[in-house]
Formats: sequence, structure tokens, C-alpha cells
Amino acid sequence: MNDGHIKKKLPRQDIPLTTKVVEVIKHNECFVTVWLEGDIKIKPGQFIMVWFPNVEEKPFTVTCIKENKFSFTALKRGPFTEALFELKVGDLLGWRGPYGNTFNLDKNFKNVCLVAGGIGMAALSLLYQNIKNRTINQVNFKMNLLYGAKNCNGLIFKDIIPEICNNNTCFCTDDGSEGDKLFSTELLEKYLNENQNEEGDNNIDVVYTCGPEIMMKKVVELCEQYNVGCEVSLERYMGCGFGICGGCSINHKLVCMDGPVFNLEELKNLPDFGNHICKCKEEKNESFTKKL
Amino acid sequence: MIDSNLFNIKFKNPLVLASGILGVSAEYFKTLEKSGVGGITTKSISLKPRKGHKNPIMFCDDHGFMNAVGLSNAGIDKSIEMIKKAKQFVKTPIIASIFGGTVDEFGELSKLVTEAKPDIIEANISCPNVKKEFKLFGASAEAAAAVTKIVKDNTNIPVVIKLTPNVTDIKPIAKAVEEAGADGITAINTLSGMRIDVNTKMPILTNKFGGVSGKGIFPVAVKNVYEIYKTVKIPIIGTGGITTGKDAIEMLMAGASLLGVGTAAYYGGIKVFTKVNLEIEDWMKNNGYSNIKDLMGAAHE
Repeated sequence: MNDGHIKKKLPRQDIPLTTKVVEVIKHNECFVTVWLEGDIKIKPGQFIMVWFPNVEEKPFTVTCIKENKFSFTALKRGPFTEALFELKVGDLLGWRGPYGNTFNLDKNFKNVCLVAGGIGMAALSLLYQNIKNRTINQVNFKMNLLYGAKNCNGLIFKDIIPEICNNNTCFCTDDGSEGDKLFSTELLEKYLNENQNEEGDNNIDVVYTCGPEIMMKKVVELCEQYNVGCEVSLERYMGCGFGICGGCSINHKLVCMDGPVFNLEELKNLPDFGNHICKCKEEKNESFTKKL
Repeated sequence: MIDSNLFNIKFKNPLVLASGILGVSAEYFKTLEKSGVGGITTKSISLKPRKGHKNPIMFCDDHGFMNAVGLSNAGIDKSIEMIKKAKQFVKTPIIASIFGGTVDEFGELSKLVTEAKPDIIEANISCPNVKKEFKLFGASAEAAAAVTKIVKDNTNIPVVIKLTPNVTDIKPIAKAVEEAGADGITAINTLSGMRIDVNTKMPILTNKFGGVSGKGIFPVAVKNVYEIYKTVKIPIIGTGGITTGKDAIEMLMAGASLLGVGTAAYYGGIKVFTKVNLEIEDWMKNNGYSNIKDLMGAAHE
């Protein structure tokens, strides 16, 4: 009998580690990127809990990693994200993690598509950069990004990861202020249609998506219709991030441990998927979302 | 081999999910049942819905786990619905944890929650994280007895009282709740504690103080259960720091009839329940035991 203690699966930090803010980039009045000092080992799909002393603690995905610093990007939605705009270089924030599962990037994939809605691009940022780095010498590897927002001010990842501005990215906005005047789901439908051969088969291996849940629901429906694999990154209110408080449960699963990335098969057993509306959006509503 | 009967309720194994851990959504109870729990305690239920404290509410260092969730819950009405729904999903016995701000509130909660037909009612008189708002009934024998009596008077379901270790002597309190009619005792709740981030000089928990649980508090839990066993005749749900089969055996020997397991799910995920059960069985086989009852209180012989 094993009388030793059970080992944690991942090397991770479970007590907030406070570290210096090294840069604050206010992209516009709604979006901010914060760079923190230090190294982090995190895989695309995972998230960290960011502690703002005297304010709160919230989950974020890491958007970029450089030598001895990393960043996260936030949309102004409530008191926490408002406070991020007031941060100055040298201020201290805490972080713990990384938590959650990762996007599955099969080595045999040759053609992948990323569908982002607004700030949802944050959850796909590391994935995009990883795939790009891994496949840089693979001539026949194809990655497309379909990136939509309410208007041109919402497409801030053009500044954060400039390499997305290439022929394989399609931008769209609800008001047509940049790219096509379409929803990203409409872009996806067009794209899936174009990639269908005469037999109705599709050469896209997988669609990775993150955005408003109602958008992801539609993405999933399209992927099922066109018989393409799909992975979505879900968001729920989180207390602990490591499977104890139960705050992020969706049906019989936990978003923090079983997710945040779920595939088509898993989503079939999660009837609550698609019914979630961000609480702070409900409460704050109009004032912020109108600007986007 | 590891199944037992308590209050005429059949437990397929002694491991009860402790209150405050994952007992939030009815559908998740299915996942818990599959993971091998012998019983499930709900998060503590109050009359009105509570948001609880702001994040950070939980973290863990090398030696202990800390939380100050602040008794967030959906309130009695929604919790009754949740328990009823959960009972359709699972066969595992359900323990409804309740807490009130006054003795009368405990009575009202007891009456109301009985409608959902949980298998056991646990009165939480020992949460260390809501002292500003709530009296710590578990800190005095008289107050603990008063809560016990009113909860008992308002239900026909077996009642266990969850006690706090943050007292000078737990024995008179255990005795008082037994005399007031409690069917059992859950011990222990978390130990009161605090951590400060040295860079910001700030308490990490929003509530400043929190409850310490996990491996580090196991010796404290064993001692309290041992003393309570010596003091009362009613059964004990031994809780606090159990993470392995060997811990479970030790807690049974100290005098527990059932075992509360919570933070272990942090160390090993919810599959820890199956693992600990297997370890208990292995230990029993290797040491010539065929009935878990023979282990209960064995350290007192």
C-alpha cells in the first residue's frame, strides 16, 4: 500500500506569486495588455489566476511570452478590469497556475482553422503563435484565422501579434468598419463551403474557437454539419481554478479541470453549453459593449 | 468489507465528501458518485442566497490548504430543489449542511431542508470565516446545545453537529451536543489561519483570515476525534487531512465511524476516493480484518 502522498500532476504555483508589472499597454479605452516580470510555463488553452491586491482575483489566459516576461490582455468589463487600466510600471500583481487542459494539436493535422470573437482571441493567441513556430518550415501546413469583433477597435490582436496580418487571416466586424461586414460564424460557413470537395468531404482537420458562447455554439453546429473536428475554450466564473470550489461547473463537468477546452464529443453531453451569458456583461451591459 | 450502516443508512464505503468541496451542482453529484464517494455533503445552506467573499478565496502552499469562501450558496429554496434533483441522479446518501445566524434560523432551516429528504442533516456551527457576520455557535457548549436542540426539534432526519477545533477544549462541547440530542458529531472543521504576501505586505485572502485544511491538520483532527470518542457515545464523522488509506485507518482507530474527505480531492483529484478505498481494503486484507467496524475506535482498546 502506498502511504506516500499523492503527487500533483502538473508543476504549478498554487499560492499567488507577486511580481512586478513591467509594461501596461492601453490599446484603446476598452482593451489593455499587462506585462508581468518572470518566466512561466503554460500551454495554449491553459489559464492563470491573476490576483490584484485589494481588488480581486480572476482567470486570464496568457497572450504572449518573452524572455523573463509574459502578458495577458483584458477587455474592460467590471471593477477588476477597470483597475488594470490604472496600473503603473512597478506595481505588483500576483499570479498562480497554470490551470486547465490544453488545445489538442495532433501532429498529423495539416489544415487548421482558428475562429475568434472579440476578446476570445486572447485564448487563441498562444495557440496561434505556437502553431506558427512549429510549422514555419512545413510548406503544406495551412492555418487560417477568422477574427471578428463588433468594430475595428475590437480587433486589437492585430497590434498584439502583428504576424496575424497575412493572407491567411480574414477580419470581419459587425459594423463593417474593418474587413467584411459579417459575423465570424458567417465567415466560417463561407470558409467551410469553399474547402469542401465534390464528394462533400472537407480537408480541414480542426476548428479551434473562443468568443461569446452563443458564437461558439454556432461554430460547433457548423463543424458538426460539415463534419469537421472542433475545440472550444469555455469561460465560467472561477473561485479556485483547481477543482475544489465547484463554482465553474457545467453540467457534470468542471470548466477549470475538465476544460476549459472541450471537443465536439464532450460538448454533446453538456446541454448547458450555449446558455451562458457573462454575469458582468448582464450587470454592466450597454456602456462598455456599445463602444466595442 | 468497507461498507457500514449508520443511522440505518447504508454506506458502501466510509468516505464522505466533506462540506464545501464541489457539493454545488446536482449534476456534478453524478460525477462524484462515479468517483467512489460513500456519501456527499452539500455546501452549507443558509436561508437567503449568499455571494460569499470575493476572490482570492482559496490557495495552497507546501504544507496546508487555505480557504475563506464565506459560505456562498444559493439559499434554502434553490438548495432544496438541488437536493431533490440530486437524489434523482444518485443513490449515494446525501448530507445536507445548514448554517444560520441565529438559533431560530437553524430551526427554520432544519424544518425546510427536511422537505428535500436528505439522509442526514449536518449543522455547521463552526465555520471560521464568517465571524464578522455570524456567531461561532461551536465555541460554547450552551450555544452548541441550543442549536442542536432546535435542529432536532424541527426534523425527523438524523442530525450531526460539525464542531470546531478552534476552542480550548472540545470535550464539553461534544458532551453538550450529545445531551441536547445530536445523533452524531462531525469533527473537525478547519483551523483558523492566515498568510501574508511579503512583497505587497497584504493578507492573501480577501477575508484576511481563512480555514486551514489538508494534510497538515491531520494530527489535530486525529486528536480531536480521539478525545470526542472518549467523551460521547454517538458516532463521529472524522474529518481533517485524510489523504491516504493509512490516514483513513488511523482516523477510524481514533474513533470515527465515517470519514470526511475534502482537500484530498485537491491533492489527487476526485479519483482519490477510489484510491483511498482500495488502500483501506488492502490494509485490512494484509492485517487480517474483514469488517471495517472492527477498526472503529480500535486505538481505545
